[in-house]
Amino acid sequence: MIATGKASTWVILGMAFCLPFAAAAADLKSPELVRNGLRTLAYVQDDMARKLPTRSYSRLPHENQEFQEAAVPMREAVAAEPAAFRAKVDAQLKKAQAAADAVAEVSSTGDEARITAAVQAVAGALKSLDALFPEALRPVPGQLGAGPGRGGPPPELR
Amino acid sequence: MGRAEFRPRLTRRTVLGVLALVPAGLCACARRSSPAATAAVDLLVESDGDQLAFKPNTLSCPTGARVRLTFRHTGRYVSFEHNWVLILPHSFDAVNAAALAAGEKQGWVPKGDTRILAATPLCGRGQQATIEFVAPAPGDYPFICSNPGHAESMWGVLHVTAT
Repeated sequence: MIATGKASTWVILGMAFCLPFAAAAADLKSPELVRNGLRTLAYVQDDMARKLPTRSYSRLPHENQEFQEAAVPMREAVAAEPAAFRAKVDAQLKKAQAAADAVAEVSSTGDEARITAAVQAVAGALKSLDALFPEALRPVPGQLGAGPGRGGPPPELR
Repeated sequence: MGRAEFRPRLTRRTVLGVLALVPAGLCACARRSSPAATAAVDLLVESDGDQLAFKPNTLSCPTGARVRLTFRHTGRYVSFEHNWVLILPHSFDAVNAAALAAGEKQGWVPKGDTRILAATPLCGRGQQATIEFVAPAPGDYPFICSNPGHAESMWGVLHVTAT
């Protein structure tokens, strides 16, 4: 009896904890599009950051172009949302796009520290964008997309 | 008048001839009992929309099969280019480094690299490419997009089975 009572308390507490997130996700008109939009931006930012270890700075303007393209489905994903929320998302997305533009600008300098800081600024701007949405829709590092995850194949195959 | 009877005569030459044909017959049977040797397999793999992932990320075929693989880039927004490259196990880092060195003009695929078992050309949004190759020995083989940086998340495994 006591054990059952404890279990049900945990279930109720769990539901109470999860409900706000679920409700917030349900409130969005197109939660799946939002999830994909955020993931696509995260993928592009991730790809941009992966140019740093190989010092492939000449590819960064191209990465910026891809980032700007990835902003389009994100805007479409919130197109049906209330104007006030849409404006919030748009403002944060513009900040992220400006940060990506800055990466392209500093890429030609070859200055590792400046380029790294610029790429980190994009990551920071995306984090703020993600924060506008329910946690359930935000990209989880290491669990992007349908693939087996970031980091390449496991050691036995790598 | 007695009826003429046909009695086959088992001469030494006949017996030797038949015995000589037995190994050839056995070989033919062995070939027929290994369907993988002649099997044709069609596989389809896509990019996961605009995301850096393959869908599906696991494929399967029997060893020796003639594989006709189609890779389709289903992205709509981002101008990523992708390919599908089958590589030997334990060559992930080396192939990625070689791809980077090969450059975009070579489609991020180093020519003559024996660690690469099959590769499609680069595909842009909405494009697809089909290649044919013979499935290697049984085992698990990684496949990747060799566009630099993509393989960290855009990879999968081809399971090559014994039958």
